[in-house]
Amino acid sequence: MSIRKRADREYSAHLQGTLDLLILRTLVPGPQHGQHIARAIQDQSDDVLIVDHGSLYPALQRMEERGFVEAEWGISDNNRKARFYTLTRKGRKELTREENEWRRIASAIARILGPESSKA
Amino acid sequence: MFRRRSHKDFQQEIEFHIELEAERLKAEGVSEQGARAAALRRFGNVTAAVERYYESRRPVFLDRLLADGRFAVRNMAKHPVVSIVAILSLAAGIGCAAATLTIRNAIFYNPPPLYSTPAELSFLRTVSLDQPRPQGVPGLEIYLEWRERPEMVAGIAAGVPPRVTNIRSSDGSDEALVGAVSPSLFTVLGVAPLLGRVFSGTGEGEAVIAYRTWQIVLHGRADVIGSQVWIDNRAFTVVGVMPEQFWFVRMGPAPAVWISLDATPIRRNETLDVIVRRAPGVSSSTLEQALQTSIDRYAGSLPEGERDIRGIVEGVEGTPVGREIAPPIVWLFGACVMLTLLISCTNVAILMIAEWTAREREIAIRASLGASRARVVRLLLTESTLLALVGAGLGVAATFVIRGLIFHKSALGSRAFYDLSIDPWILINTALIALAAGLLVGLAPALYETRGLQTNPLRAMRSDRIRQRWRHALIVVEITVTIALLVVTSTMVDAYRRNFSMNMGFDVAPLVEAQIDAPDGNSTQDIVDRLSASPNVASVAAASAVPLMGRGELQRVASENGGATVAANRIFVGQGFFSTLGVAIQQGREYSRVESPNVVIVNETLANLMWPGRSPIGMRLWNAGKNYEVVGLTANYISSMLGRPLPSFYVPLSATTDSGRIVLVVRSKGDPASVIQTVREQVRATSPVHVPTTVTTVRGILNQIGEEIMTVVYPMSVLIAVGTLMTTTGIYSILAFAVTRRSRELAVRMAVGATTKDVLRAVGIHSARLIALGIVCGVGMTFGLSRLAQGKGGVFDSPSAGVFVVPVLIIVVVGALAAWMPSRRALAINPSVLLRSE
Repeated sequence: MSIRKRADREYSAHLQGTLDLLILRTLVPGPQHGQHIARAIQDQSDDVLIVDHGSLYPALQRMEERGFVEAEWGISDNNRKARFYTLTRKGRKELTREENEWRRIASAIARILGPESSKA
Repeated sequence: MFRRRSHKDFQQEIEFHIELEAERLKAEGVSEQGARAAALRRFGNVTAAVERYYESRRPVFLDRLLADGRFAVRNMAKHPVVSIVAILSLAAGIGCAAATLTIRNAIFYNPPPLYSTPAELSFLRTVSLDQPRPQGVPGLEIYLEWRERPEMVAGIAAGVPPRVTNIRSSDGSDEALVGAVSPSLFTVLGVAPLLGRVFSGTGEGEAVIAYRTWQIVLHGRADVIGSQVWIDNRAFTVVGVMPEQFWFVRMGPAPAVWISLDATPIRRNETLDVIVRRAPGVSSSTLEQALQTSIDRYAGSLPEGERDIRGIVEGVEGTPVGREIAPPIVWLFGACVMLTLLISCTNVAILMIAEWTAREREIAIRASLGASRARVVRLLLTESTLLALVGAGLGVAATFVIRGLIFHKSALGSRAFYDLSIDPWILINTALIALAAGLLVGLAPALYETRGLQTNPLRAMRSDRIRQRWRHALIVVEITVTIALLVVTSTMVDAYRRNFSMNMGFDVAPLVEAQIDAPDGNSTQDIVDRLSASPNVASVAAASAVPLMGRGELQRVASENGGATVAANRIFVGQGFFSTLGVAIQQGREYSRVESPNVVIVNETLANLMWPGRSPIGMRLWNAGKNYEVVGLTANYISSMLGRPLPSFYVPLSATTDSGRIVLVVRSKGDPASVIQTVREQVRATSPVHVPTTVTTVRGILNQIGEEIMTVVYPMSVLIAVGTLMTTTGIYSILAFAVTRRSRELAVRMAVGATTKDVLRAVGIHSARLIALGIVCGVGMTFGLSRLAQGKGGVFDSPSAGVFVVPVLIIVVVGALAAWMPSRRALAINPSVLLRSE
């Protein structure tokens, strides 16, 4: 995953774990293919988080192997063949766990940074 | 179940992703080409993603291993001769080693097949001053005493050493090995009969026969149980047939029959083979102590000088042939196996070094392209491992082939008794040793070849000096080992073969020997007289021991009363003994019919020990406080298989000599086999009671023993053949390689004006020096080995200069060829071409 304006490796390494979280969250409404997932993350974050498509698929693969998602070939809206990913029960659990973790860390960081007023 | 997703499937998914993305961009108004390009850009490096996926799916080392493996296979195919020689070397080494060890185990270490829990079984034996080889237990008393000791033995059985005698059935008659055994024997051993039952009660009038007896004497009749056989004219009922693999104490080619010991009259001081099944918790050493106590008690009743008997307890492992052959062979077997394996591993090392040296350029290029040293070492190791693996696999196959060959070649009459199935442990161990050796010999050169590769890859291609030293060392090792292996084994095989078809000091062809258990000594002269009168008998003589039958007694003799003593063999001989045997009387005379008891004949060995350089005739010989006058000097002769002439003295056999058993030597006119029947008839005619008799031709005894011994020694010949083959290939290849390496140097020499002769001389001297060094080491090692083997009681003589001729010649010829052929080839090339090609 990369972040616009700061496609910095170091930075993205910090956010390594968050890609999984974002993918899982995107799958909550229903099965989706990879391109849609990438798109959805970008759209919902108002183009702040741009998923590096090259990293998306290995991540999906990894999650599939860990049993968080299931995949199946199907036909996309515009009549294209695509591989659709569905959240499994295990994936849902993982999502909750990661979400909580993320929120905990985010709020901790927010406490340290203090109210939003100093420099950007 | 999670199924592995294919690499292709993943690639497809990415492809569709890019298409979807491009379509979306198109929908946003981007042009057709622009959309695809943007989609691709957005995706980033497709190959990297695919690779990442690929690498996430399997361990990289496995992947590299496969690549290395493929490369190794290609490389082996590129150098087929090197690879084939290396693989065959390993395979032959493994095959020889495993087959030899299998046979060694079958002969020396495995318990007889079929015995149940053989580890619990022990033989009770004794050794004494004049019988240093373990014998059975003397005297029936000890056996009877031990029957009543349930706290020590859970089961006990005894057997009288079996004799060859005549067995007759309604189908015909034959010679058989008849042994009287305790009725409990089969129960103690835990072997059930194949047909019928074993002895019941005392076993009076019952016979249990071996499978071979059933097949040969009774023609495999289905109704064998209950049929009658006559042994020495006594009738017995066959009650059981033992399985084919069963044997007890003797496993000779004659068909065996067992009769009951309890129903057979035996002499009080008969030597018995006693076997016991130890009671639970009783160890061999406990048993041995208890046995010694009984033996001491028994020995107390013996004359002074014969009391020094020691009891020993032995396991049932091994075969009679193995016991006969004595320990150094076992040791030599192992040594030869190790030498053969060593040769095969050296061969592989040589070939590996040679091949890699030739590839130094390739290695340098790999290093320049960024391969780490570890990576290169791994590549090289993969190759040697692959080679070793293929070699080991073939070796396993070779084991079966070589075993088959040995099996087939040895015309072994009693082969059914051996369990020659290949022990998987031996196979695994040998293969592992070869594999480990393959890796080891791969590792050292690999590490050496890649030294300093990182600092400057191209500088790694430097002077050959150290490699050359290694090669030279290997050549010397290989020649050394080869000579040692060839000479030691051939000396030994030869020693046994000589014994087998040896000059025993007399002509064995016309001779027949008979052992007669005469209940009363008076009949001896009677039998001799009757036989002398037979038309097919040239002459006959009686003795206490004749060659291959019976033993003399070891005595201390001196040239003066109370003087320094010498151990010598005492044999009682009758009239005409030496002329019947065909041994020359060199000085003095032979015994006449009536002889003074105070005369003695000595053999050459004893005469040389006692009166070196002087004629013994008229000298005095002291033995057991009595002195004898030496009246004759006889030539040496060999009286036991694998023996050498012992210092011996011969005293006249008289009616007063204790002759519970006499041995006759008969010189036949014409076919000796026909005399056998004559002897039987005449013995029967002299005595109204049954007289157990063993009669056989000397040639027959020699053939039988020789055959058994050759079975043991035969594998050695295979080792020799394979060893020679491997070693000549090895020596040739490494010498030839060394010369080829020098092609450039030779070309330069030629270019600056050396003649062909000069170059050949330079190469020749170099090779000759190596070969000479190897030969010197080899001869030294051989003497070391034979000294060691003799120290352990070996039967063979020190290697004479003659036996070195063939191995040395082989190595010199191979060496000369290896030096000459490649240098001719190198010289045939124009020097400028050779130099430019670099």
